[in-house]
Amino acid sequence: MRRPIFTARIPAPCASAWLRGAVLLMAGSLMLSQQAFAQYREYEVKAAFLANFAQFAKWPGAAFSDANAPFAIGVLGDDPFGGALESIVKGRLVSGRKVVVRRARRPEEVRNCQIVFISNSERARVVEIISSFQMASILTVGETDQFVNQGGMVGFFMEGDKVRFAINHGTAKRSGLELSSRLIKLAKATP
Amino acid sequence: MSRLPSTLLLSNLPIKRKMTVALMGTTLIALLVACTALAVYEQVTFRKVQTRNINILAEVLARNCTAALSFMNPDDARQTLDALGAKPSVEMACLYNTEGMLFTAYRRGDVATEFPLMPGPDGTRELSHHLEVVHPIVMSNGSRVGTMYIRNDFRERDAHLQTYIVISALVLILTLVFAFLFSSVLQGVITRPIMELTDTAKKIGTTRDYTARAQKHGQDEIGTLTDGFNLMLAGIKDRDTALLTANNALTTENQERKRAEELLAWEKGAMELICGDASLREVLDGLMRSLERHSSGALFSVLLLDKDGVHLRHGAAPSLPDAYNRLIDGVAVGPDVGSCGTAAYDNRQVIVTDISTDPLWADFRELALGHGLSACWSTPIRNRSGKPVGTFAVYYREPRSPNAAELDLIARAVHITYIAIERKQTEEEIRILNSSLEQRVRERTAQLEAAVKELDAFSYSVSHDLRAPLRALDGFSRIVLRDYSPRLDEDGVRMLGVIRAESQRMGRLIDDLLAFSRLGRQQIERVPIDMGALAKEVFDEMLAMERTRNVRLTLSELPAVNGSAPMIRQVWVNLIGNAIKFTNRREAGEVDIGTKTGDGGEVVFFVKDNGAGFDMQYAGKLFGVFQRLHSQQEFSGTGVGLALVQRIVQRHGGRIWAEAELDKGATFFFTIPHSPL
Repeated sequence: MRRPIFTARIPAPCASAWLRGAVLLMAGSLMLSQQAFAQYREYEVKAAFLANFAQFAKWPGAAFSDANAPFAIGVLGDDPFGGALESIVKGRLVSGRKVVVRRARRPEEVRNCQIVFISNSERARVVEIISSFQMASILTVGETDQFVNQGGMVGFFMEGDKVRFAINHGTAKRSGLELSSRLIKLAKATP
Repeated sequence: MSRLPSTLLLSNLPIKRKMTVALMGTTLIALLVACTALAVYEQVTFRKVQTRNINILAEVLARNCTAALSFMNPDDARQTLDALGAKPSVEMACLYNTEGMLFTAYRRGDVATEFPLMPGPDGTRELSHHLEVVHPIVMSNGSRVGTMYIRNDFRERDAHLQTYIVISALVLILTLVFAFLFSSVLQGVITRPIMELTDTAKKIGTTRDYTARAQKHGQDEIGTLTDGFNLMLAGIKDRDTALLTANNALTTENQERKRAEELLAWEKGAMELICGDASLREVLDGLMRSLERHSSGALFSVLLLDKDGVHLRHGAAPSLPDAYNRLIDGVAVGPDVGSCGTAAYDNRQVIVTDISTDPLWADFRELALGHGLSACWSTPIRNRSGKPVGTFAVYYREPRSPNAAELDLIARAVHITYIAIERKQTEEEIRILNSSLEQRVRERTAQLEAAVKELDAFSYSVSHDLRAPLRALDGFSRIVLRDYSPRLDEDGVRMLGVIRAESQRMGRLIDDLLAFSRLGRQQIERVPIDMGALAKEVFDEMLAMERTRNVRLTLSELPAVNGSAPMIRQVWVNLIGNAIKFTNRREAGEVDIGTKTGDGGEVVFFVKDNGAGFDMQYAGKLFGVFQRLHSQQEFSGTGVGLALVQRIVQRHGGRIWAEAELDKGATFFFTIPHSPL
């Protein structure tokens, strides 16, 4: 009875490896957290959000030209993201489709995109552009004031240093898009 | 030895308790084992379920947080996590983004632990106080958006276990109660017959009533045991009865033996009494008393029949009233004279069981009853020729008839009494005879002593008186020879010589006679005597007087004796002198002096010669005074010597005798017994 029934032995290298990993991770995360919000500039966040919207919305099959067609994110007007968007979507799949970024000046050029970001540069034509997408299943994302009131579906706005968005659910619905309730929950309630 | 005390305790418990203990113990063990097994199983299952539940919870939460994570909305995520408030076992939950940074977290109100800065590797870990689940948060397209961390304490599990234990305990208690009740009922069925059997056995143990039987309740082992027990009881009863019978027989035998021993002891005492110096009356009295000591209530009496065979005389009756004894003393026997008179008259045993009614007692009834005597069994005491010499009677103060043992006792007592009577009467006769004999011996001795004294005085005075005329005879003969021999012829001188020699011989005879008579009066003064030296000295002296003789002495070693020296010397002088004297016809005389061992082992001295010897038919005359076997002419002598020797030897307590054959020599033997100085 004095002898132990069993001896639990964790192999020393294993334990030390785990410990080493944990220390490294902690150090890394500390560095990141210091820089993260400073470095995440507004558009990097917006780029990430843009890419993420694809995960919380459902497009009707007709939205794609064929089964192999990629999931396209269009940027209409001046691209405020730099290369951030590409780096985010790189290697990402949405419903098994590759994600591509298209930049355009005219709305016709992004008609076959599933998400279209209407840049601040198109501020004057927002209503016009949105109406041109009226019949297409395109998630329109903008950052101009009154974007959602003007018929846009998702409108970014800043709340302090945080990027927030509002959603016009009715518009999205009418375009045949199904927005995730979780997404809707996060959005600022539409008037 | 090796048993534990507790086992001992258990083994002393009644079966009833044992059964209860066994049943309860078994139930307890079974329930404990079952409950423990179930508890373990329950715990293991519960853990699995809990782990799965927490994982599911993590998954659900993760899904609900994907959007919040994707759109960096910790508040929203926080709201989602707050829903965990509904599950109190969750201590905390944390969300980490893809970079591993804490995104948001939930903590139960009572928990103060810091959130982990980073989640560990994915998986479920069970730590000592809580369960940790690290769950990846993955989008539908498979991309990871963060990590979910949930820490769950064991409160739920413990509560579950606690409930389980409480229920188990309740079940256990209830079951034990039921088991106890059940065992109480069951043990009644099993133990009642055993208890009854035990009670019966106990009862028999105390009462020894082997007729009791145990009641049988069934055909089971106890039933068989009961049958066996009853069978055994029957056996014991038989044996007990046999034992009792044997015991009674033994007791009877013992009593008989004891009585026999008592009787024997009485007989021994009686014999000792009889052989003692006591008189007949005393002996009879003692016998009656000792008989009365042996048989309580009986009064014993002996009456002796007179020489005339008619009158009974009082013998002994130590317990009968003196007045009664006096009146009975001298009663004449007859055909109806009480028990004793009739018994002596008819020479038969007369048993009167009730004096008040028996006709034999008609004349003595008043007397006997007046003295409180109610029964009298009388037995004649017969001599060797069968004639009655008395009666032996047993009186009782109440009517009574004898039993076999009493009759036996009476017969033996009568026999002993007869022995006493005969012996004492014989002793009396002998005593009377002896006393008359002694008287006569005394008278005769006195007469003899007087005669011997007279004789001694006579012979002394005669010897003395004879000396004077002898001396005159010799003296005057000598004067005649001296003064007148020239005038006498040869014959006259020779005759005067004869007168002288004869008168001298007579003088010697008178001397010897005086010595012999003196011997009767002399006291013996004993001293140690060296017999060898004395014999040699005497022989040499004697031979010196006979210078012409050739006699050879063979002297063996002789033992010393205690005696009167001059007397013993006289013995040797006479015997050696005789030996030398009677060998004078031989060319070479031989005298042999020695000792031999006599018939009684005593030392016998002898003096042997090869002389004339004598005819053994005259041996009786050898030691008489003046008895001579040879003529004066053949061998000189006075005829007093051997008589003197015999007297000396006898006065020393010894004997003297002789063996001889004519012309073949003679041997004289004598003994001097050893006696202290």
